[in-house]
Amino acid sequence: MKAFKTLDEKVFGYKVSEEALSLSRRFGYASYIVERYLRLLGMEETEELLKVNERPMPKSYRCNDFLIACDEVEKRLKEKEFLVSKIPFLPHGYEVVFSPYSLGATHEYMMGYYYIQDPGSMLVAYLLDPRKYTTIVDMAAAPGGKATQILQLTEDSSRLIAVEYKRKRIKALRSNLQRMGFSNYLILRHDARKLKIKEADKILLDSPSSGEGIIRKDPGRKARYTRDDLKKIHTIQYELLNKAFDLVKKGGEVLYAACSTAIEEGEYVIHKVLERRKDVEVLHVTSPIGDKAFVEYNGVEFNVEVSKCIRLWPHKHWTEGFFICKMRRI
Amino acid sequence: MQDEENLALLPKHDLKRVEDFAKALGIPLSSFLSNPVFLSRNGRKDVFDLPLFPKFVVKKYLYSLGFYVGYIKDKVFYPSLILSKRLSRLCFLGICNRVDDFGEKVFLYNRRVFEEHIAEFRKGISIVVNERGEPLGWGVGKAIYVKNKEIKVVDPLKDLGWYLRRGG
Repeated sequence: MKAFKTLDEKVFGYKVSEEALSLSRRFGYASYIVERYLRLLGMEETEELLKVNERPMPKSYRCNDFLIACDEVEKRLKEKEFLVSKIPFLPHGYEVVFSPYSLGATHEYMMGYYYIQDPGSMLVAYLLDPRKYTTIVDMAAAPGGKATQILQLTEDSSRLIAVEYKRKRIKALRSNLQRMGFSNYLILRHDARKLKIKEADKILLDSPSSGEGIIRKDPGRKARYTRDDLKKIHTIQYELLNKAFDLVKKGGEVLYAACSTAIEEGEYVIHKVLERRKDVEVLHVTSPIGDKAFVEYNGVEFNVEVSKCIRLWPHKHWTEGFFICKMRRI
Repeated sequence: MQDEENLALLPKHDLKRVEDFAKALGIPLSSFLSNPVFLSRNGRKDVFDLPLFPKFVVKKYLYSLGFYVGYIKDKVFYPSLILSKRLSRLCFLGICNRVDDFGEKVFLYNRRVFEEHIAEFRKGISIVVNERGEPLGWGVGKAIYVKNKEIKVVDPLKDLGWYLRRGG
C-alpha cells in the first residue's frame, strides 16, 4: 500500500503549467485536466482535442434486432424524415444526421426497436463478446444500454445479473430491459463491491467515472470534479475491478471500461490491479478502432500488460473518450 | 436501505387474481405463466414468471427478475406492458383491438380511440395493436351512447407512451 501511495503522488500530484492554465481558461476546463492532456498528447493534439470537445456529439442509436430487422427501423425513421446513416464498424449502430424531433419520442422507440446509445458505449458490449447460455454480471448496469445489448447479442439467452445501487437509476434500467423485450435477467439493487455471487462466466464493469470522455454531451464535466474527487472515483474503480475478479470464475473474463480520457481512471486502475493480483492477465482485444493505452505517465512505468488495453479519443475516432481493457482470471 | 422482500412463490389467492384476468381476456393462464413468483414492494406485489430458476439463488437485494407479468395491488391484478407484447401474438384468438395510424397516435398519448379509427373491435379488456399488429398496450373496448347512438371506443389502460411519460 505504501508503494501505491508514492505512485498516487506521482500520478495525481503534478504541477500545472502556464500553457495549461491558459488553455483551461480559454476552453473552460479544470486546469489539471488540460495539464494531463498536454503531458500525454503535446500542445498541438491537446488543442485539437479541446476544439473537438466543443462540438456537440451527434445522436446515434442501436437497433434492436431481437424485435425487428435493422433495415425496417431505418426505413421507418426515414419515413418520419429522420436522416440516418450506418456506423460502419458497429453491426447495429446508426448515426442520426438529422432529426425533425426527439429520437426518444417515436413510436418505434416506445416499442423498444432501438436504444439511444453512443458509439463507444456500443463498442464496449461487442468487445465483451457475450455468449449464449452463460452467466454475465453487469456491475454498474443502469440505465441499461449495455445490459440490453448483452441480451440482444445473446438473443435473451444469457443469464444476466444487472447490478445497480441507485434507486432512481434502477427504475430506468428495469424500464429499458422491459421496453426492449428481454426477460432473462435479474436486477439486484446493491453495492457491487459487496456482491457475493460466484462463478460468473463474464463480467462487465462499465465503471462509474468522471465522465471526462463525454464532455461533448455534457460540457459541465469540464470542471465538475477536483483532483480529490478524481482520487475518490479512482479508488471506487479500483475496488470494483478487484471485486470483479472475485466474482468471475477461473478462466472467466472481465471487461473494464470507463468513459473517461483520464489516465487515473484507465491505465492506472489496471496497473494497480495487476500489481496486487497474480491471477489476472490482460487480453488483446480485436477492436475496429482505438489507440493503444499508455505505458508510462509522469515517470511512472505501468505494467507492460496495460499496453494491450485500448483508448478511444473524440478527436481521433469521433466517439466519446473511452478506456477499455479486457482481462481474464487465470 | 432495503424495502424489497425475498422472492417467494405466488400464493394461491393471488394466483386466482391473475387467473381471473386471463379468463377475462379469454386465454388460459398457462399461455403466459408457468412458475409465478413475487416480490413485495411499496404495498404491492410484483409478479414474475421464472420458467427456469436462476443458477444462483440470490436471496437478497432482488429488484426484478425474469418475465415481469404485472402487479397485484388492493386485490386487483394489473398486467405489464411487456405481457401485452408477449400476448399480442395471440391476437388471432380475438383478444385484441386493432386501431389505425391515427388511433395509434391517440392511444399512445393515453387518450380514447373512437370507432372510425378502430379496425377490429373487442369488448372488455384487450391488447391494443396497430395496423401492423404491433402491440401498443392494454385497453378496454366498450360501447358508449352519444345522442342515443351507440359508439364503439377503446380506452387506454396502460400504453407504451407510459415509458416516456414516467421519464424513461
